[in-house]
Amino acid sequence: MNKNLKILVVDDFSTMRRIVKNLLNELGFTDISEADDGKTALPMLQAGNFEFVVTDWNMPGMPGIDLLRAIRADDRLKHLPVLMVTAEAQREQIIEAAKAGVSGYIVKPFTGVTLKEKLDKIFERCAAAA
Amino acid sequence: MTSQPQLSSEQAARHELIARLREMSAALESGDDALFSERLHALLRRREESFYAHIARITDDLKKAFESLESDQRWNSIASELPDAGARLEHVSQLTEKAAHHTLDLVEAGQRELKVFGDSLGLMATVRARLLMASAGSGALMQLATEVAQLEAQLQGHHQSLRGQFSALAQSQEYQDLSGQILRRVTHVVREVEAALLKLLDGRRPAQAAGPAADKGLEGPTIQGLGNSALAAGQDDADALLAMFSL
Repeated sequence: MNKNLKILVVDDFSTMRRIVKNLLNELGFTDISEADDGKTALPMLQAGNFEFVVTDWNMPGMPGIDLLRAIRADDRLKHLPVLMVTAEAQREQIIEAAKAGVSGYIVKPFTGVTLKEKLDKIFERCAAAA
Repeated sequence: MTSQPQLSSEQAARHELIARLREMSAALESGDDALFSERLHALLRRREESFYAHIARITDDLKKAFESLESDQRWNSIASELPDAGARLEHVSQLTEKAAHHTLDLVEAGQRELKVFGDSLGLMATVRARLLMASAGSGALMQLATEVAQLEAQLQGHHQSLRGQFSALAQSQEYQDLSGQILRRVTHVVREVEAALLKLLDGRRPAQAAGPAADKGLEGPTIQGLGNSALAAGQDDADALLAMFSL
């Protein structure tokens, strides 16, 4: 696992951004930026060299599902792994995210172990696809 | 003299209807179309009059209900208390956010201290190695190096344990995100009720336009026992659903 990965954490709750950042730090990732919704995140992704996105679903402005669709529709970004960390736990929503091309889905509340497990799984799949 | 049993108004109306229908039937059989037509129209007119009388009664009841609603001070009181309720909920949300940030500040400060502690443990290992090298031939110094190594191992254990506990402490602040989303949702509902109630009472404030959220229901954390929670999924269900998409 490349610990120098440039990660963008997108969540409208600043506490949750800090928590996810803290957990990622504990896993050894240090290059982490933050955005408070999809509208802020998208130009950051288009301008920066981000390699991984962790996003919430329910956010004002642009929700995570729309951000995911925008990423998958952009030729330069479409290969970015996107992990959704959200309290939206309806079956339909999970299926909607899967159809939109989500790489992983974590239901809040979650543990650091779950986060590590999902990251490992995504990186394994990326490595196999490369 | 035997008295006729008293008929109820419903029974009397039924008897009258039967008599009229017999009369109409006789007129039809005898070819008296004019009489038949006149009786039929009379019947239909009665039916219409009864319908309009019923509508008038309902309208009157409704008017009285609205008048009593407007004159009931409790509604005015509720309408005036709702903004306060919304503001209080927002205040609780801000308080929990502030408390969560303060806890996270302390956790991060503790983690920085812990990193210094970890670095010191690394230095301690270097010192122990030097002690071991310098102890050649000295049983007492070798014993001392062994004791330092044991102490170092103990401290490493505590260091790891504290790292885990700080991490768990940071994660426990997740409640602020979840409770914040729920409070935001309830506050939105309170505002909607307030607007609707004020419009009903005196029209001083227009109701908010229904947005997309009003069409499909507000998004937010799934709460067991509320809304469409029968469809709620946990992490295991989420994993199973994603597996269907080879994810």
